[in-house]
Amino acid sequence: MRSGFHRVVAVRSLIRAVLWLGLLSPTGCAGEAGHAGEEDASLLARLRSGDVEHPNADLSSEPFLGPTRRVAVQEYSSRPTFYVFERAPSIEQYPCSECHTVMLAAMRPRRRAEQLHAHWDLTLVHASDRVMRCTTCHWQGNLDWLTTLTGDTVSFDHSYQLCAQCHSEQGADWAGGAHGKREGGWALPRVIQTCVACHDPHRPTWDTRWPAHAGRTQQ
Amino acid sequence: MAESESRALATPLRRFFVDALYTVTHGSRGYHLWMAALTLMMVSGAYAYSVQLNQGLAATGMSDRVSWGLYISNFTFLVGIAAAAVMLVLPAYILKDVDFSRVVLMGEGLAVAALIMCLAFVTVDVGGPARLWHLIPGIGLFNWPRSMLTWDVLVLNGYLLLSLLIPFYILYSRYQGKEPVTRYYLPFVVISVFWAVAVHLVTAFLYAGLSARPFWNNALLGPRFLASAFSAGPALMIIILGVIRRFTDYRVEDVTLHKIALIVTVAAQLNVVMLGSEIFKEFYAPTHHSRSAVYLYFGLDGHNSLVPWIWAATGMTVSATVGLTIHRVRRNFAWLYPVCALLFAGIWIEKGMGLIIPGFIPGPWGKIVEYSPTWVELGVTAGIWAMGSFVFTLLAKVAIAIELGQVRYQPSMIAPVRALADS
Amino acid sequence: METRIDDRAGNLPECSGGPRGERPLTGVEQVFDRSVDRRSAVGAIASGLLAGVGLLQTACSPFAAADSRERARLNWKRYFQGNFRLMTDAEKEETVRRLERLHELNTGRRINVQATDAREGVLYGYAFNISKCRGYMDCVRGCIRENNQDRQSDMRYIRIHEHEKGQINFEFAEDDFFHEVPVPGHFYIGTQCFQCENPPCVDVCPVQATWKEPDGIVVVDYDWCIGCRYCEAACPYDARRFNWADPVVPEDELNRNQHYLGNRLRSKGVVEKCTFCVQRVREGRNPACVEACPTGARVFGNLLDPDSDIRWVLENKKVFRLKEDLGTEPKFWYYMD
Repeated sequence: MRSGFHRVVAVRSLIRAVLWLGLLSPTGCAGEAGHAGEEDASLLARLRSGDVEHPNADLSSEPFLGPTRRVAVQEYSSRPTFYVFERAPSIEQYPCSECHTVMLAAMRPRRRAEQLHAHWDLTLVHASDRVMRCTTCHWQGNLDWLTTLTGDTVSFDHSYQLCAQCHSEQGADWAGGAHGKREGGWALPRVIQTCVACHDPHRPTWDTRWPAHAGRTQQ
Repeated sequence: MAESESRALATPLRRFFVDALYTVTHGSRGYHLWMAALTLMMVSGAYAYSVQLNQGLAATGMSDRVSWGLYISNFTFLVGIAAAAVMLVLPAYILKDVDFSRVVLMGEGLAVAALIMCLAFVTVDVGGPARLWHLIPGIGLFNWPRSMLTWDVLVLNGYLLLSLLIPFYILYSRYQGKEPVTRYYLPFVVISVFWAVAVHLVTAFLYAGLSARPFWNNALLGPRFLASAFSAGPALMIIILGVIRRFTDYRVEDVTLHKIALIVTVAAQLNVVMLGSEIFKEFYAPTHHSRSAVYLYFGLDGHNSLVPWIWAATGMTVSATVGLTIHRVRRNFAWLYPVCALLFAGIWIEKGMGLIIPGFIPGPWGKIVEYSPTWVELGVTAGIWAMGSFVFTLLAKVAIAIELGQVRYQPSMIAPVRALADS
Repeated sequence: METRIDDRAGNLPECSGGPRGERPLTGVEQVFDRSVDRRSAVGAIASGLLAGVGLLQTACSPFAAADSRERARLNWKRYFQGNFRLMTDAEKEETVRRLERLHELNTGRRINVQATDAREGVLYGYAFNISKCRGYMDCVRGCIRENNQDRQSDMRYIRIHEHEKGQINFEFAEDDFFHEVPVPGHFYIGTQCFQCENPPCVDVCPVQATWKEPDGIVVVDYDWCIGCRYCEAACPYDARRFNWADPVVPEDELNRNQHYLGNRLRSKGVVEKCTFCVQRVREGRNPACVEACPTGARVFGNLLDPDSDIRWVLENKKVFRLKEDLGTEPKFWYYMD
């Protein structure tokens, strides 16, 4: 082991010495040598020329994803299939149809004095009341489902489709990877959090908070 | 004593060192007081360094924003002093100017002392001095030619070797009563002339090559280093020769000092011209890159700890240059020594802290964190300067003793013969 | 009759002092008897000089525990180990096992130090969404904990700069704040090591203690670094940190999953920096900052994967890098919504 190391060191030193002597220019020669011929190519061109067949290098995000089931997102044709976690398990009061056995209109309080039986903690602060009301997203036919603006039903697992109706830019960014939070690791499978994981759909804006870390001068 | 032992003692080389040891351990009371004072400073410097070894470099005033401080400032300045010995070597050996030949050994001795101080400052500055063996090619990993620091290691040690070997050969020859053979040492002298310029250019390139630090990243840094070195170094040489004239029997002609003063003057004038060029570039159309110069000369956001220093240094340098330009001032020894001291101090401030610290302020993200040295740094720095002075005094005393003929090799006797001159 | 205390091979019996005790069979004799590389030879010669004293002391002293002997031996070998990049796989294994064992001897607790190589076909890239960052500094906290950074000094690889709207000028930004965030009229930009493709810090290191790995991460061999801080001066992005004092990490907050080039424990006098959490990304995980950020402002992935998030960001968002004109080619981009 030791003599092998010695030889390796000697050979590598020799190669290195020859290389450096040959490229004896103290400016960015190493960088230039590494990109010889590609120097004038744009960044994307250079990256694309380096595309590899197995970019996940036998790694997987599977071990870091936890037991929650996931559903595939295939609506975005520009992106390979990716996944979001099932939404229903994280909604406490799901399925909604357990209480909402009749049409929504029938459950409205007739007199102002009557209290709400549930959802009293919900106020809709999202766009304005000229743009949105509860039934904009919740399908009155069956409150276990959501609805698009044109009346198509959407399951809670795919609630991102609703957000993308108005927030199409953010939706495209989200599908691409520029918006939202990735679950697991950087390798496949790609699982990302849905919109509602961060944005409360009834009150999407975030409050201010204190930072998680104070520098020494601030402590 | 047995015959073989006396013969062993009697080899010239061994006797040279024995005689040299005797020479440096005997002297006047003033000499001993001087050496004792230096020893005291070295010991206190060693104590300060022990504190630093124990606590880590947190004992200094350096931080992640200003990661080089007093140590590297002094290192930078002293490399220049070492390189400046060539200003005496060149006329003495190449131009065969006989007036310089008597002082060139002192110049080489100054170079050796300065280089030892440089190596010491680098050693006390690194965070892992025990790992410095990683620099040794073959055993460690020497990142040459990519890292300018490796070039610096090579040129500094090479120059140290040259500055030790050439005077050693000359003195050793004279010690044996022989004349040194010119064709043996002259090639090395020629090499050392170019090497000295390389030494200081390489040190300048250490800083000038960092695109991250716009204060240093300019083409003039190398030439400015040379100009300031060739004025501060010989200025110190003039003062040292004045001391030697005063306290020893070694004869240094007036004309020699006048010629050295001329070198100092021209170099100092070039230095001022270059300073003007830098000032113009920084302040005519200031950009984001000029912020360091603004910090240095005027302060930034209320941070102005270097402002009085740089103005004092600039005033000292410029006034000393003006003084030296005036013939009557330069040729008057009562003025020459103080003016040289003024120039030396001014350049020490400007090229030391006035160069290194502003390079780091503002930081890469505009952050301003100021720096001031702690007692540990001041103690270690004083200790290293004392060590350099100590080394120089040792070398000068031996050289003077040999040059004056007071120490000669006596092979027939066991105890070496020395003239007990107080020098 | 000549009296020998040692046997003919020069081995000493236990607790024998005296004149022959100064000549143990180590160091120089071992060097001549087998071939070793230069570095081990230096170590062996040095050990021969010291072993004469050490051997006597440890052999005779009733207080020398086997643990402290082992610790001394391991520290000795650690001192003389070579540059990590030039080690064979077997030597790397030995190196990390030694570190694990030393930690166990010193603290009684176990750690796990990996020497995982760079994965093939991977070049890590990072993107930061300026519109999303709200100055929460969850990334800073996550990074400090993940990378076992010193808790006593202000050691943090990540800086979050609070800019006032109207300009991106870092001189007027504040990176040391503690108030409710985000402040109206301000936005936040985070910086850390950008793992440049053309890193100026790698060029200047005199001992090649820092280099760029094949997967693009610029790493430091903490046991090889001599602490000259030339790299810290050369970095245009304030990415590097120096251990001015001994770093202190509380034992109960220690992250025990370590990598030799990443978050293993450092000592005073060496440089460290963000490594894109090399201990995590080489196992397929995201860096701690990416995982900690609650707003999703941080995007990470393989630049060589045309389907990765980072490539989509580069191809579809308007990205820029800081100090682009320096030619360092950082692998850390910024974009806005």
